Amino acid sequence: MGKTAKIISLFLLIGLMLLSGFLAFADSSMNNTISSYDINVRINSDGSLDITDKVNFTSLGSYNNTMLLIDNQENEEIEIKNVYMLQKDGYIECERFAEGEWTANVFSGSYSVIQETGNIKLKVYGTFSKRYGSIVVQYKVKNAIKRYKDVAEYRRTHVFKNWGSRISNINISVYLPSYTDPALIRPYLHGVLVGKKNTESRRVVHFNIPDTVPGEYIEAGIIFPQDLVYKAEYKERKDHLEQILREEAEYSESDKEELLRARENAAKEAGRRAWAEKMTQRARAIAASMSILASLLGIYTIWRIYKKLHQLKKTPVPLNFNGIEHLSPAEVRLVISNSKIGARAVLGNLFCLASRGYLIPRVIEQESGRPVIVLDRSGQLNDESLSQSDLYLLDVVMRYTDEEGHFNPSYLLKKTEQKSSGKDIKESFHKWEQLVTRAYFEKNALDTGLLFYRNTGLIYGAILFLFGCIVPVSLSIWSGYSMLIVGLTLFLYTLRIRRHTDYGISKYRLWKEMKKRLLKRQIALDGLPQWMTRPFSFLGYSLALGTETELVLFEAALKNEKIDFQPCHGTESLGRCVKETLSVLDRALSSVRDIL
Amino acid sequence: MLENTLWMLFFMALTAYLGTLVIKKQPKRIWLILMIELALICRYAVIFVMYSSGTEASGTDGLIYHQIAKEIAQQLKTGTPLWRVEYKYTWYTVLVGIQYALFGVNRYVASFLNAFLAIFSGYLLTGIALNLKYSFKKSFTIGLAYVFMPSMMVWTTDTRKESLIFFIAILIWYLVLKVMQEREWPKYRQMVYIASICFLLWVSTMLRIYMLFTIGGGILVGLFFNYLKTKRRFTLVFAAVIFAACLLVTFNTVLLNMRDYHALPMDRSQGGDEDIDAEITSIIDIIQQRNIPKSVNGFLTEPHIDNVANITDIAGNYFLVTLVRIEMVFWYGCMILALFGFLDSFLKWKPYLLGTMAYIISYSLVNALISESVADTYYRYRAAIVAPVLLFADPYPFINNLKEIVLGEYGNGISAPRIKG
Repeated sequence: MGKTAKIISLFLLIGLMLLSGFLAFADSSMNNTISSYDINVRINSDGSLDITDKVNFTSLGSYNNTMLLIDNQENEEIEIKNVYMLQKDGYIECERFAEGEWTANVFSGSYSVIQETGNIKLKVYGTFSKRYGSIVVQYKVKNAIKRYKDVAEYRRTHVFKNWGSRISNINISVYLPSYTDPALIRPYLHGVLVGKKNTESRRVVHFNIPDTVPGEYIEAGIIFPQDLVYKAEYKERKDHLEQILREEAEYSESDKEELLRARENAAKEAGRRAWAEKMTQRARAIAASMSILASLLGIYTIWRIYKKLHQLKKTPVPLNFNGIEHLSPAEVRLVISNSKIGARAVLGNLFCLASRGYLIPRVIEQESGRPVIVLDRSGQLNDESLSQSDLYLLDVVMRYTDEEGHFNPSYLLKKTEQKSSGKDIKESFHKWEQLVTRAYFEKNALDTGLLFYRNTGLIYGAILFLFGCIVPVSLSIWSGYSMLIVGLTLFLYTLRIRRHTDYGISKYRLWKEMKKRLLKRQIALDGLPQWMTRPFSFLGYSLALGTETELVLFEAALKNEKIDFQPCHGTESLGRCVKETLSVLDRALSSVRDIL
Repeated sequence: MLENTLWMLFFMALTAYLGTLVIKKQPKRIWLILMIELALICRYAVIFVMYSSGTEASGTDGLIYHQIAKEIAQQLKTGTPLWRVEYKYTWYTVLVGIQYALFGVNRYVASFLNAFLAIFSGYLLTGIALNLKYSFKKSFTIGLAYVFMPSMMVWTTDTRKESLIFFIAILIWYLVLKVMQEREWPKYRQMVYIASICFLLWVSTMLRIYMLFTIGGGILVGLFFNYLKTKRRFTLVFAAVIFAACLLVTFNTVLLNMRDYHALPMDRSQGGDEDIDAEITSIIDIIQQRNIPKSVNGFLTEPHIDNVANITDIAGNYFLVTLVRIEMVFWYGCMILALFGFLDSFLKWKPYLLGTMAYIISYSLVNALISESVADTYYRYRAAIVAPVLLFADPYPFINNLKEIVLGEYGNGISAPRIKG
């Protein structure tokens, strides 16, 4: 595995841990736990039950459905009468839909009933929120009471063993059909270790269970006089009390190992959840502080680089530019235009080469009738004074000459319409730009200290940006975003560090000032360095600086050198001609930039 | 069964043929085609499992669309012209209705067609990657990752509209890239392609109302950056036509259909007589109630690993729960890798990818803000950005570029030319 692959794998691993691990932590407590479960049962004299279940869920915020299991024993018939769900303006009645009737409106409050062995599954669909996670179900159970010769028995499972989450505050109230002697009412409760049962008002039996955990269940039972359900059919016409009492005694004496294990598991699970919650909180706190620290460190790095870059005090711009360092028009363009080279730099350098005798500029008319400057190769041989980029540019120019041997921007534009030649043009000029950039970078070299800061800034900026995208998703939103902003700023700042070096800034100020003075006509030819005063050289730098609209000095230079370059009629036409040439070349070079 | 078998064979043959058309001049394309055929067979298997209890009882939205399509087929058979057909929920039901009217009611065939469209989308995605000059290996991986993604298999086999939506979205981006790249095409051909893009934008709007703004917006962003970079007049013409088409579709389709669009969380308590302004106000109200960063996070990452088991449709099925968990880990990995790709495209100023990025961002925002904040809904709606995100999921270009600068090709602190396209 290569180094890069290792770095990527490491980063991916950390990212995945952050995303999947902490998201899992974050959601570990999001099961459908029930905060209160009130069950109201009315036993009718025909042995049927009218039951109302009211369930308050604690965390239905991200769910659009919930489920309730209803005990359905042999020979019982269950009829769901009403289902309500709590909404902002109170309870709304849900509509029942059958399989195959699924519509987009189900989530506006509906329910379905699925028959399973031993129970029915009631699914309620709707828009739940954390504040309004409550449902009420009213249903009737026929043939629910077992009537025997001596007693009648109410026995129902209200919470199933396989209910996968914790339920708190379970209150079951069972109303007998009529008053009777409390001594004849014998309630029992199975499936939980802790729970109270009491009889009230000679008729009502209350079961209160503080909570259940997965693995526990609630089976509530009551033995009462059978004549209270005088309309119900007998299950068996024999005495049954003794058997019930025997079973009850067996249950009481059993070790209840399963229930103990369920509690133990629940305690472990609660411990795990508490640990996970604690870890999440801790991870969030750590991530938030780490993000802030990382952002501050990023800001500090920017400040350090800034201080390092601006150690020298500003030097005043000279009144005349005679002694300034020689840069090519392309380098000047690089300095003043945020590293964009483009057509101005190409044409600028070409005119400079013309001023040195390697090319001969001419004006010809395009097919549209507009004049354009073309360049011909002179007989002058290349010599050692030519830079690598100039040599390469001359070579490129010669590759794209038209039938008459001119380097014609219009011809180049035509060539860009073909994909293959367009790609060649893009690559050729891109390579030239690389050579120019390299030459400039050699002049504007970074010292060891700056190089360290540049590399640190780039790597640290990229890492901050990437973590700034991951951390807000998994852990801490706002402090995470601060890393994203700081990271991107640091990355871009250090990427363009050469603009901010003393060399870069001094050159920028110098050439900006020259541009200003040229545009305001505040400078004469003798105020310029000698390598700029030759006519086409001046034109080249004017193009690089973007001052080609001010060609008075160019005309003066032409006069000085006694060169006859009046393409059409006067300076205005010359300006238009230069503008047209630049425009055509710019279109040609720009249009190939997106070729892949 | 014979009819179904013939249809399956037909789609497999068509898949092989289209593979040779879309993936040209690639010596190893046979492997891609074979793998894609395998993905199609997997989808067939999913279809048979899904409908094992009968086509008239399986599914949720897919079942509704099938039922409505049957009614539409009936209308068409009784002579109702296509433009007068009454349909509900989505225009997709009309398309399935036409299919039922022409070839007989058969939900299996409708699902086969969806599976085929998903597979064809995989080809187009590979085609996009190849046209972006990605290596064949990388393009191959992108295409296969897309067609073998488990959730994609599920969403694109039922008679849901997802498959068609993904197909149209990818087809539009494929055509946009072609138009941007093929500068030697004759004018009429370019115009035909642009007109096709406009038409597909309209179709995508009919299927999911906000697709116009996400795809159309993405294309315009891409063309804007393309113009800044290339200054080609053609780009301006292209952008102007797309913009005009977007305006036309907004006034003629979006505003007209907005009231009846069931996937938008409208306030229906007014009894349905509210005007468009009220509908828009209702949407804005819903957006204002949302915690935007949290919603965006949810859209991008739900269902979280521990939450997968709570998705109603797969709850209790250990195999599916595990599969979705694996897919989520894959998706998280994909998003992390895509971050490198996003940064690289941004720094290199790649117009097409910037447009795609705008599409991903706008689509994510729209869905995070207006779709119901439920894990499985997010999971399904997010599937539309899986394909474009895969295009970015490669860290090497960015890291290599960074390495080139930091290590300095020319030594002595002089790095290679700055990051540039």
